[in-house]
Amino acid sequence: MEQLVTKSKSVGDLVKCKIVVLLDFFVRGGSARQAFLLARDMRHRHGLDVEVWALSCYRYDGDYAEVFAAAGIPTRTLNFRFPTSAPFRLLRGAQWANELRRVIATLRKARVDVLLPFTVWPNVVAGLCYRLGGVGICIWGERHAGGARVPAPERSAARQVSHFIANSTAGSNFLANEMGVARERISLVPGGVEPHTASGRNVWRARLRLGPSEPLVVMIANVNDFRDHPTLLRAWHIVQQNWHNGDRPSLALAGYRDYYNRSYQECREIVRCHDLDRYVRFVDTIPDVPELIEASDLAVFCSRIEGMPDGVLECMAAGKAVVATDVPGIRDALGSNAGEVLVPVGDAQRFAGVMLDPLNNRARRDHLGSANRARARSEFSVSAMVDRYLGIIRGLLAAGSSESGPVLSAVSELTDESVVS
Amino acid sequence: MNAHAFPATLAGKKIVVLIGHFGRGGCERQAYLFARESRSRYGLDVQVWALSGDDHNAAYAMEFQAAGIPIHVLSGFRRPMHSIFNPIFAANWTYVSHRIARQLRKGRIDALLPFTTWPNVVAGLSYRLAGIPLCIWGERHCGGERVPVVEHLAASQYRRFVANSTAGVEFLAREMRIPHERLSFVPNGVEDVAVDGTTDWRARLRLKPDEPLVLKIANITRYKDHLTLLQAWKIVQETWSGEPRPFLALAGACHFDDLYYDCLRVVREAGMESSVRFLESIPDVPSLLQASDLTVFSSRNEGMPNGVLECMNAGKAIVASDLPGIRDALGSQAEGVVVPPGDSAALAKLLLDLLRDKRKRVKLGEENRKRIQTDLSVGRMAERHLQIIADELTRASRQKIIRRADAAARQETCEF
Repeated sequence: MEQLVTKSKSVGDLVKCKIVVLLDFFVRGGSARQAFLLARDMRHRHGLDVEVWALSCYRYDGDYAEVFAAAGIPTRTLNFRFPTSAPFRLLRGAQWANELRRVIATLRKARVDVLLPFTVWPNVVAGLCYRLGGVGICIWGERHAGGARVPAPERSAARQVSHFIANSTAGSNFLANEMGVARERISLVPGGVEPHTASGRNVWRARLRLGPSEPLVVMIANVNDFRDHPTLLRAWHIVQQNWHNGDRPSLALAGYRDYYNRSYQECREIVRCHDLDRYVRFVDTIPDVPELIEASDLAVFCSRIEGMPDGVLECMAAGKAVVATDVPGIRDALGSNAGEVLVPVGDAQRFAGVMLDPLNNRARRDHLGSANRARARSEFSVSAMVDRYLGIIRGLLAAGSSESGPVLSAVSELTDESVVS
Repeated sequence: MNAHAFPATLAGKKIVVLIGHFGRGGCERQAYLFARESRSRYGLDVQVWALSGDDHNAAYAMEFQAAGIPIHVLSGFRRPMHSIFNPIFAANWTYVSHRIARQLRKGRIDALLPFTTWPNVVAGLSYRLAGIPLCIWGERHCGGERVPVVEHLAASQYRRFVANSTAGVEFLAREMRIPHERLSFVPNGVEDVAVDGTTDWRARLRLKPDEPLVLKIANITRYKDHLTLLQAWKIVQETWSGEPRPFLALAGACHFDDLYYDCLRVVREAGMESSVRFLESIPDVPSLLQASDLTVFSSRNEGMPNGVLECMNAGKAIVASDLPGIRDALGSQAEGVVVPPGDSAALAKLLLDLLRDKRKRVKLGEENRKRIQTDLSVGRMAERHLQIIADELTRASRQKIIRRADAAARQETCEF
């Protein structure tokens, strides 16, 4: 470890800094996974003092925090209560004030130097708190390209932040066009993915009670408002109707489900109406995603708005062909392979057609999968992502203030390729 | 008053059953059955209202409408979850009560029947403000869900309480300190439902023809104790020799909360993913029951569970937790098929015994079916409820006349 630290020239003055990545919850998902990879690499490869905090713990999947702890990453939960439950405005305002006061106190006590919020709520809370919390640098982490919003204080929070990182071109466009952030303040840092390791193909196939020749299609994504599981299920109904090639394929949907989410309720209705129960399984958040991907024959990703989805990167790293919706974040991920496997948003008929092609043609699947694996290796390594982050943080530290001019010039010198012009 | 005098007393009265939300569950089912029976058999104006649209199952709400039951969802209710020490606690509850009362007043209701805890509490705080002459507390969980402090305040507003189990009656008497003369016991009712043969549940679950299917019908809540069942199921799987292995299906709404993830963790750690399936709430429970070989109902606290009554009605043997409400349902058959709550080893043993003994399963199933037909019909349940409402309305109107007469007498005295 020591050797690694001394070799890493980019670290320098960062060694004394305390860096905190702020999540909304410790729930398995793309952003939490990226936070994990970032923190682990910063700690183990660069020897930095990095912790991962979550705003709240009231949403389930609590064992994911244990995964961070097992990797030697200190974690903390702030017990932040989202100020949305109070029935009228005045009370909501009071709730906001009370919750922010607690976050500020925690930040002060922990002497945080660099705060890296990931996703919407952490961005807003961090933006509103970091100066009063005595934090030197706070970098807004745009990961959903505007797919989720916190309407009221979002712009006020963004005004407090001097630098922004988006993980996709869609994210940087959202920041520039919708949030009015100057483009020179935005950096593009694509997500990273580890090389795929999985123990075997049969574990998940047995769990799902699949026969050896039954094709399995997977989508790795939490069900939320900006993902488009309903279109995928409509497409799946069409696939089932047009399947004439032996054993019918099954669809496994891995990811967190929110019972109250309208999109999820719609999914249930579609499954029920088209009697798809036998060929569709929701498998919730699972600890062994690589094993499920390994058990699959094809990966899909259906969305309306997307940063750079981890669910696509992981399937690419596993060498799986991916059929997906044509949104900029997914184009960023799939690169030149994208054209033939991308489908316009919400077009179930086309999605079914594009899925049927590789499902019926193994050689084509293998070809697309190999290209995806090669791209994941070359373009989306964890170390490249971490180096870009460190470059930006070091630039901001070197500038020594949150004044935009000198900071931005320092950042653009360090991360020429990552600044969106 | 004879058994059928209440239709005359209740004619022209508007009766509203208040449930938490339109979602599939035992209480909602009882509300549906009561409303349908009262309307179709006695021609009464009975409606079903929901406190909140948060968990609204549109398909289920449409079933009410299809049966000719008018429905309504109140707006603006959010469970005030703040601690009593939170400064906005009182403000929140005051706001909620007034908002609900305003909507109830517009409905011009004569009798309000809240079912389950939150409707009981909110109705108790609101019905007088709304000018409703009669509101009857409907205890259905015997304390399984509580609303600290406020529930006592709400209960003090009621004159009459109905529980669907002896355990519920006991809870109200002991914990809520309600005098016994104000309490009534009205057991649930269950009806014959035609099985929709179009759903092949065994194919849907990918079961082999001789693979035993064990079924639990209950929403996944803390007091339904799915965790004990899953621990018992682990023992069943470890003890079971030979193929095919039994399969456990868990039907009932789950909200993917920490409890659900606790259940998932047990399933994963025991490697039972291929022998356990969570089905969520499903519309065609009778078909699933028909496909099952044995039913189970583990719980820690229970009124009279619909999940037990429906299994009995389908002629299925049931293994259950030893709770008063379940004993009320099973009657004399309870001995030998109930185990102490939380005892996974005893539950596993009983499951294994019955899974291996088909003849015993069939015999128990037949006895269960017979008990439903004789003692626990929907007609009896509705009749008992309506009788109580009629008695209370008559008493209330008598009291009103007496009060008016007293007031007139006092006024005369003053004038003299």
